[in-house]
Amino acid sequence: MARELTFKDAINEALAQEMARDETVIAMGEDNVGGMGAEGEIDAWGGVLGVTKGLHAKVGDRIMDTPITESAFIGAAAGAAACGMRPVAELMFIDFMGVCFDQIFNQAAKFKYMFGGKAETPLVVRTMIGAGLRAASQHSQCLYPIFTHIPGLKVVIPSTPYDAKGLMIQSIRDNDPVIFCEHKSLYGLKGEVPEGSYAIPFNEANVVREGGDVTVVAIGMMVHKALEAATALAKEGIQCEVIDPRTTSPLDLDTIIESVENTGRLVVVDESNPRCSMAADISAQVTEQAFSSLKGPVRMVTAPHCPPPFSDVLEDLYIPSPEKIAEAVRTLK
Amino acid sequence: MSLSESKLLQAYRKMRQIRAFEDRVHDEFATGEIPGFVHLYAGEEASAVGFCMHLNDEDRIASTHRGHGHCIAKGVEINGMMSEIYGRRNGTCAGKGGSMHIADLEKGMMGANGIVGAGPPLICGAGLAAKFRKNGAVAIAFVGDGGSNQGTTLESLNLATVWNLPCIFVAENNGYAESTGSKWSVSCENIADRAAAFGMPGVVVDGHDFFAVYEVAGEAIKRAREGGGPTLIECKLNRYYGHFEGDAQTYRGVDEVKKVKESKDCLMLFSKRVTEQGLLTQAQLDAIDKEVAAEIEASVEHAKSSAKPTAADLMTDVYVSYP
Amino acid sequence: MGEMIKVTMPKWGLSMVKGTVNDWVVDEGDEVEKGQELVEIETDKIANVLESPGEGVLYRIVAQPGEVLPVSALLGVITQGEVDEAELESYIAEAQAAAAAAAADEAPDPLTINRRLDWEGLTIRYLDSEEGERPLICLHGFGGDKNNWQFNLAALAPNRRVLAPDFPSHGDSTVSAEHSSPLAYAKMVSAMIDQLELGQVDLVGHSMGGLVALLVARESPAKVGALTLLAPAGIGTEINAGYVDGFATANSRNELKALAVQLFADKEMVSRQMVADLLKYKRLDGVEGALVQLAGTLHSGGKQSEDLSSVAQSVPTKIFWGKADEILAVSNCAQLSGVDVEQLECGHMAHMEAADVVNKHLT
Ligand SMILES: Cc1ncc(C[n+]2csc(CCOP(=O)(O)OP(=O)(O)O)c2C)c(N)n1
Ligand SMILES: [Mg+2]
Repeated sequence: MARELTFKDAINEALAQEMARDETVIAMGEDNVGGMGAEGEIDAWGGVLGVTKGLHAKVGDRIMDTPITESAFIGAAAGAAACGMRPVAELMFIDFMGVCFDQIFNQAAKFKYMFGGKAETPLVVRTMIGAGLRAASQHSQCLYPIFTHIPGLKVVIPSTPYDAKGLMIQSIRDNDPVIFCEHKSLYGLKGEVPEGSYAIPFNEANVVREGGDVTVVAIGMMVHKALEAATALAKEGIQCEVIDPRTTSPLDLDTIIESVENTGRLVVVDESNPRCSMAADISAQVTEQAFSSLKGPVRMVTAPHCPPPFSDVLEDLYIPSPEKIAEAVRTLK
Repeated sequence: MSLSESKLLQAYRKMRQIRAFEDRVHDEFATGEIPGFVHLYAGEEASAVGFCMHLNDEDRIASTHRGHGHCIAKGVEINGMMSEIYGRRNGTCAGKGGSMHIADLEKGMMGANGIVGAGPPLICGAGLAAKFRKNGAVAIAFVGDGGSNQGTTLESLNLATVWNLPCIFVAENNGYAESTGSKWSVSCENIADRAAAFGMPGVVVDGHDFFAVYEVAGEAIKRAREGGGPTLIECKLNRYYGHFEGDAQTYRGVDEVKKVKESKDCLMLFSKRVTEQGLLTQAQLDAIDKEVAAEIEASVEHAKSSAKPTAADLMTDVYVSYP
Repeated sequence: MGEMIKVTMPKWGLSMVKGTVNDWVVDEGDEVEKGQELVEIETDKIANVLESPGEGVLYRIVAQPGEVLPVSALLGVITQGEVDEAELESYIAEAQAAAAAAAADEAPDPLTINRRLDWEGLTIRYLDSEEGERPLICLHGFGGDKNNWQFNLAALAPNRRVLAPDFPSHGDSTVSAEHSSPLAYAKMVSAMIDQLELGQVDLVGHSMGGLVALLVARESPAKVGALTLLAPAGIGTEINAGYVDGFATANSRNELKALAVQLFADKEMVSRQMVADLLKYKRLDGVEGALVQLAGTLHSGGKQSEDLSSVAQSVPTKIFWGKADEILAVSNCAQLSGVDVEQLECGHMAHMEAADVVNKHLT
C-alpha cells in the first residue's frame, strides 16, 4: 500500500515542499508557529489545529506569526503578492472573513483587472470551513459561495488528502488569488498521498463514483456524505454518479453536464446555506445549459437557512446527512 | 474606597463562583461530555468582578470568547450558563450559542463573542444608546491583549473619544493570545499607553488585586456616567488553564502558572487582606466556599438532567419576523 | 466501604478521539493526590501528562505503555479506603476484554507494506513477501509500477519469495531523469539483489522490464537464474513509438484513456480508477521530463534502440507474448530461435490479461 497521510499532514507537506522549492513562498497567520514572546517552546502550536506544525524548523523565518489583525496581515499578504512574493496567509476560520474582507475582495481580487492586466497577485488564503465540531455559529460556516461570487478569486475546496496536497501546490503556483478552504472535520481523514510534489489543475472535477441513474454533485465534506448515500442507494438498485468539483471557481461544468446528459437527474449537495449557494449556482447553470437532458427537477440538499447551531442535536440536523441526500435522490426515481 | 461587609462578601462570592465554575467545567470537559471550544477564565476573576461590582442591569458589557467570568460577574444565572455549555434547551441561549456565545441582555450582558475584537464597536453602540436615552448607563468592553491589536478595537477607541461616549475599554492582558506572548504581539510597553493616542486616560492596574481593580474601575465608570468620556484600562493578570481546553501549553515557562497561583492568586490575596484587616472572618469565607461548591455541583446535575433542544427549535429565532 | 475512581483516557481538544499511552509516572500501589501527574498521553496533536482525577491509591494500571485507546477508555483505577476487590477485579477484566477486542487487528500482510531501500541517493519503493525460497523479482514496464503485479504476487507468494520494485521515476520511487534508462534500472536491480542479500534470483520482466531483465542477465550473469519475459522490449526492433511518446507527455484523463486502451485486448479492462491512477502518477513533478528522456533511450527513428536476443538465447528464458499486442508486436520474436516462446490470446498485458497462465509458469 502506498503511503497514507492525514488531510492535515498532506497540506503541511505541500507547504513544506513548495517553500523548499521556491524562496518567494512565505506563510503567515495567527499562531502558525506559536510561542512568540513566551518562555516555553517555539513552534508550540503550528496553527490552531496543528496544520503548520513543524514548518518553522524547516523554513525558519519564512513562516511568520501575526498579531490578531487580519485586516492588516491579509492585506499585507495581498500587497506582498503584488510585489513578487507568494504568500500563504491563514485566515483561521472562514467566519473571520468579516474583519478583513475588503483586502480580499476589493483589493487582491481586483488588481489584475483594475490595473489593466498589469498586476498579478499570487496570494493563497488558507481558511477552515464547516460544521460538525460543535463550534457554534461563528466558527462553523461554509462561506465559500461568497468568495465564489467575486470575479478575480479562485476558490478551492478539497475533499481528500490527495487532493488537498495537489490543490495546495497548484494554489501556490497559480498566479491569481486563491481561497483554499479546509474542512476541519476532514483533518484527521487518512488517504494515499504520493511523497513527491504534484499539482492538480483547477477546473477539473473528480468523478468519485460512477453510476448511470442520478448525478450527485457534492463539495468538500459533503463528498463523503454523498458517497455514503450512494452506497446505501446502490442496495436499492439506484446507481449514483458522485462528482466532486474540487474548485468552485473555476467550476468544471463540462464534467457535470456530461454526467447529467447520461443520467438525466441531478442532486447538488452543499453544506452552505441554501440561498445564493453553490447548490443554487450549479442547479441554475445545469438547468440553463442542459435543460433538455433533465428528466426531473434539480434537487438541492443544503444546510437550512439559519446559522449553525451549537447543540449537538441541532447541529446534526443542520448538516446535510446521507439520509437526506438519499431521500432527495429517491424523489427523482 | 471602602467597601461594606455585604459588598465584600458579594465580591468574594462572585470570584469564588467563577473559579469553582471554571474548575468544574475543566474537569467535565476532560470526560468528553462538553462539546465545542471552551475557554476558561480561572485566574482572571478580580478583573470581571472588580468592574461589574459597580454596574447595574442597565449598564452593558461586551465580553470575549473567554466569557464565563464576565457573565457570572454581571449576574447571569449559573444554572442557565451550565446548561448552555452542555447544549441544553433550558440554557441561557436555548442551547444554540454554547460557551462562546452566552448572552443575557436583561442583565446587560451583550454576549461572549467568537470574533476577537467584536466587542468594542458594539460597546460604542451601547454607549451611544445610553447617551441618547439619557439613562445614565455606561458600557464596558472587555478585550484580551490579543484583541487589543485588532483594528476594530483601535477604531472604537478613536470613535469613543470623538463621540465622547460613556465607555470603558478593559484590556485584560493575560500575557497570551492563544500561544503568542503579548510581549511580542503588542507594539508598546503597555496596552494602556495607547490611550494617549486616542485622547483618553489610560491606566495600568494589577488585575490580581481586586481592590486595585475596583478602585480604578470606580473612577472611570464615574467619569463616564458624568459625561467625562471613555477610559482605557489595562488589567495585567494570568490565565490558569490553556487557551482553550485541550491546549498543551508547551509555550509556557516551567512552573509559570504554579508560581502565579502561589504568589498572586486573586482569591488568596483577597482572603488574606480581608482577614488580616479584620473585615471578614475565615469562617465567613469558608461558608461561601461551601455554598458555592454545592451550587456548582447542583448546576452540573441540573444541566446533565435537562433536555436537549428538538428539531422544532432549529429554525426558530433566525429573524424577529419573516414571512 | 471505600470508593473507586476511574482513570480514563481524557479528551484534550475538540478533535481528539483516541490517545497513545506513554509512560506511567507513578507505580501501582503509590498514593496519589488529586492533580498529581499520573501518565503521559500522546495524541496526534499533543503529548501531555494526565493528572489524577482524585486522591487515593493507584490500585491498578490497566493500560500499558504503547496502547492506543479511545477517549474515556479505562487506563487505571484509584481506590479510596477498603474496596470490594472481587467486584473491582471483574470490572477491570471486563474493561480489558473490551480493549483487547478493539485491538485485535492482526499483523499486516507483508505484501501490503510499501518498503524502501536507498540507491544512489534515491528512495526505491518495493514490495516483498519476505518468506520463501527462490526469490523472484518482478520488473514493470514503461510508465508502470509495482502494482501492475496485483494479480501475480499474492498468487505466487505461498510458493516462493516475490519482490517487485518501482523503478526510479515510477510508482512511489524518487523521480530522477538522470537515473531513467534501462541500463540504470538494471543497475538498480542488481543493487537491490545485493542489498537484500538475495543471492541468485529469477527475474520476470514486462515490456521495458523485460529489457531491464535482459540487461541484468548480461551485466551480472551470476545473479540471475531464469528469465521470464512478457512482451519484452529488447527482442526485435518493432515498437509503437507513438504510444511511448504520447504516454510520456499526456496530462489529461482523456489522453491517457486513449493510450491505456491500447494496452489491452479487452478494452473494458481500462477502468476509470486505472486512468485516475495513471493521471496521479503523471502529475508528479518531474515525471514527464524523466519519461520523455527514458522514451528517448527506448527507441529512435521508430525502431527499438537495442536488440538483446542473444542474451535471451544464453540464459534459461521463457517468453509469453500476446497475439493482440499493440505496443510491441508479437512479430518481434519471429526471428528468435532457441527460446521457448508461448503466444497468448491477449494484448500487451499478459500478466494481467492471462494471469493464470503466467502464474502457473512462475510458480
Ligand atoms: C477575528 C478573529 N481572529 C482570530 C480568532 C481566533 N482566536 C480566538 S481567541 C484568540 C486569542 C485571543 O487572545 P486575547 O485577545 O489575548 O484573549 P485571551 O484568549 O487571552 O483571553 C484568537 C486568535 C477569532 N476568534 N476571531
Ligand atoms: Mg490574552
